[in-house]
Formats: sequence, structure tokens, C-alpha cells
Amino acid sequence: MNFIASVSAELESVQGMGKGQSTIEEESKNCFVRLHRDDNVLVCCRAVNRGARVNAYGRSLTVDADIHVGHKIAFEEILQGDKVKKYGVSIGSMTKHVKPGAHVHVHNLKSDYIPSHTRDDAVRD
Amino acid sequence: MKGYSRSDGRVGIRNVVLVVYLVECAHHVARAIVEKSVDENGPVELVGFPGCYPNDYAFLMMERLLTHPNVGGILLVSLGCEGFRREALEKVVAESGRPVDTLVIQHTGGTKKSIVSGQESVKTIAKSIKMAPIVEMRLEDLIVGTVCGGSDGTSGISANPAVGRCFDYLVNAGATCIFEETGELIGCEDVMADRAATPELALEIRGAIAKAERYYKAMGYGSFAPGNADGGLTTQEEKSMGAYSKSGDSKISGLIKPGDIPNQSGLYLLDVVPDGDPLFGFPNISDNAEIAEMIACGCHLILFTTGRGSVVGSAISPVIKICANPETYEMLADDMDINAGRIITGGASVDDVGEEIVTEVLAVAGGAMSLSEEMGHREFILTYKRFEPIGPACLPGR
Repeated sequence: MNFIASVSAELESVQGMGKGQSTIEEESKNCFVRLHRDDNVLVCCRAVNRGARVNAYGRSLTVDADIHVGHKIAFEEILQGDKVKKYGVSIGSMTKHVKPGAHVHVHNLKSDYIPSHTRDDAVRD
Repeated sequence: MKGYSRSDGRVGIRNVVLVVYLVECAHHVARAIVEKSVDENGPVELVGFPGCYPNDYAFLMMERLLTHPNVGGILLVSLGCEGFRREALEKVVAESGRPVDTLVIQHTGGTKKSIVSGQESVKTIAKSIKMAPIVEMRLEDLIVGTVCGGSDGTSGISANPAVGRCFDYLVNAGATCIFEETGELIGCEDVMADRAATPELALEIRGAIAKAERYYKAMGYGSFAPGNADGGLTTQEEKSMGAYSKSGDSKISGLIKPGDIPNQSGLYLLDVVPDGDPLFGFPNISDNAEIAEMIACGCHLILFTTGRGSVVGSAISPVIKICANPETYEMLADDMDINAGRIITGGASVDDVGEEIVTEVLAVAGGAMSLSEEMGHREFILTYKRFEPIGPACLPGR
């Protein structure tokens, strides 16, 4: 399946899942999408707070930080040095070991090509 | 669609008078001329080059920008002693059939007299281009570029795939589409090489990405901003995969550099990273530098996807803003032509938004203003670069 078709199909099926549910807990109404079946991270479509339980793709994950729209969480355990897969391709290597539900970002994932920078780095320089 | 017919056979969607400063020293005079001219004379826009040292890239960019189909007439503003080859530039512009005048501040008698003289020239030029012939414009005449700016984790899953759909539609219908930022395609070389029209082109594309990686490593920074990380993007290659989805699924017909104008319809990749060792620093210091390069390749309008929320437009070619992030859209709705954030909140599919973008492209090409255009955003930057010409494998169709 081509790249755009698989991403858009995933988003549509996740939206469909969200609409049908009638649950009591706030955690169940969240929305995380896996863009490709080989991915080991999910992308947040609706913000959740630290400790929230996420139900996605047959698993129940507890997030370890406030997760904003566009950010990633681990779908499964990822070991230090493992490749993180998003869109079906590697987007870098884990620098720490994480459990399912962990926020995956600059504090535990690094590029295999070029380092990223934030405004805090600039201050330190 | 209708457009303005130009002597080289191309058709423009706007009919702009450009006032062009050829060194920073002439900037104030040029700006004052534009400010005093713009209300009475139709669109009058300011572009320029700040440097006194000569540069082949800057000259080529000016050549292409000043003879762009959206441009009707030109006033060059020179201080008098700068390095820019104003006579050669005026000659190229005159040969394109456009009215052109050169104002040399040191010969005219300084600031006040130059501003008055410049206003007169703009009035005359604007009057003469009012008669520019209008013709039917087909999709085959249209070149559309795309850039992303202020990207975040939503860009690659909403706005960018939607632009990809729009690009697929346009290319299929005979238009020409250009995507760029080889520095933001680091990590995508394998998937892109598969789409190249020929194996030789695939090799050139891989070479361009490898060059980008070397260049950014030497700079010490990738094409990555703090806002990208705030919005969930972690690595260069993750950003690249998201950016890459703007290109759609069409086969890639060629690899071009700033100033190369595709002469056949199709999808093209624009390589913006300079050749050779870094000589002049960061390749595109902010988003408008890439936009100017796309325009120099003939783009009539630009599709600009944004997650964090860019507000820029551009001189010469209008910018259509496509917002990827639903929260950003809430905050900046007045600046966003298309809300692709609905793909994330569940209000629309990638296909739906792709169709909306096509509709907006046709409307803006037909004369409707984009929001940034209406608000007066006409940003422009041009700096120093160095390029080798593209080799024959880069344009296999030729």
C-alpha cells in the first residue's frame, strides 16, 4: 500500500473507533494512531495527561508524561539502541530503554544522521 | 482560468510591478518608492539583494524572478557603486519584452530626488502593463511549488499527505509540481530513488541527499528548529519522512536547482543545498529563501504547510497556507487558508482536504487572493550561494 494511502487509512479507522465507543473513563476516549503496521510508536491526535490509560490496537498503555498532539509514545517495550519505526521506516535510535506508553522524544531518541537542537541547547552554547 | 500572456509563451496569474534594490544601501529608497506607489498603481512589490559582492547565483535568481510570468514591469534601484551587474540585468529584462527602468541614486541626486523619480517610473510602468494581454490558462501552463515551515508532529500526518494528494491530481492533469528541501529529505533517499523516472536520475537524487547530509553536518545544525521539537518531531529523518509525503505518489521526472525551469509537466525535486564545501553558510536561512527559489523555477503559487503556524506570504507568487495542527488552526485561523487539522480531529479525510487544496489552487490561480496575500505579506530574501549546473541525468525528459 502506498505511503499516503496507509497513513490516511489508519487515521480514518482510528477516528471511526473513537466515535463508536461509549465508555466512562476519560482515558478511553483518547486518540493515538499507528501510521504503519511495522511502527513501534503511536502518534498523539488528542492530548492526554501523565498517567492516562490509552487503549489502542488491542493494547492498554499508561503514558508516563503529558502527551501533546503530534508527540509519540512507545507502543511496545523499546530497548536502548533499538531503531524507532514510524511511517514504516527508522527515524532514529533509542538512547534509553523504555516501557510501553513512554513518551518518546529528544530525551530518549536520537537521529542516526544529524543531531536535533532546542532553544535550551542554544542557551547552553 | 485566465492569465497574463508573456512574450516567452508563459502565462502569469498576477501582473506585478517589481521595485528591486540591488544592494542594501538602496533598500530604503526602493521601499519608500513602493510605499508611495502601491495604492494608486495596482500591485507594486519590493524585492532586492543586500550584498555588494557579486554572486552568479544571485544574478541568476534575479534574472528568473524579474522575468517570472507573474511580473509585468520592473524598476531597478541602484546606489551606483555596488557590485551587482545592473546593466546586464536590465538588458535581460528588456529582452523579455517587459518595461524596465534603472534608477541610480548617486546619479539622480540622492534620496529625495530618487524617491520622486522612482514614483514617476513606477507610474509609467504600471500604466503600460495594464494593457498586458489576457489569455485562457490551462493546467499545463501552471507550476505549483510546495514548502513546509514551522512543522510539527502533525504536519506529516495531515497537511503534507493532503498536499501529496493535490500534487497527484495536478500532475495527472498535466500541471507541473515542484517539491524541495533536500536538507529535509535526509533519510528518504531509498523511497525517493524508487520513484525516479530513470536509474540515472535515481543516482542523482541519492547524490543530492548525500550532499545535503554532508553540508548540514558541516554547518553543525540540521534543518530543524526548536519549534519542530516542541511540536513532537524528534529527529531529522522523522521530519524528512513527514515532509516527503507532500510530494505525493507520482514518479519524479527530474532534479533541478534554483533557476532551472521545467519545460515538461510532471513532478520535480528542487535541490537547494549549495555545491562544494560550505562557502556562504546555512543554505536557506528561513522559509522565504526556499520560496524565492521555487519562484525562480517558475512557480506561480506556493502551497505552504505548517504545524506551529507560519504567517508568511511572498512577493511575486501568492502563498496558500495549509494548517496541519488543529490547535494551531484555533489560534491562527485568520492566517490559514485550509484547515488540515480536521484530518486529526476526525472531521475530514486526507482525500477531502486534498480536493479542497486543488479547489483553492484553481481559485487563487484565477485571481482570488490567499489570506496572506490579502494581508499584505510579501516577504522576500535572497542571499549568497554557489551551484554547479545540473547534469543531463537530472532532466531525463529533455
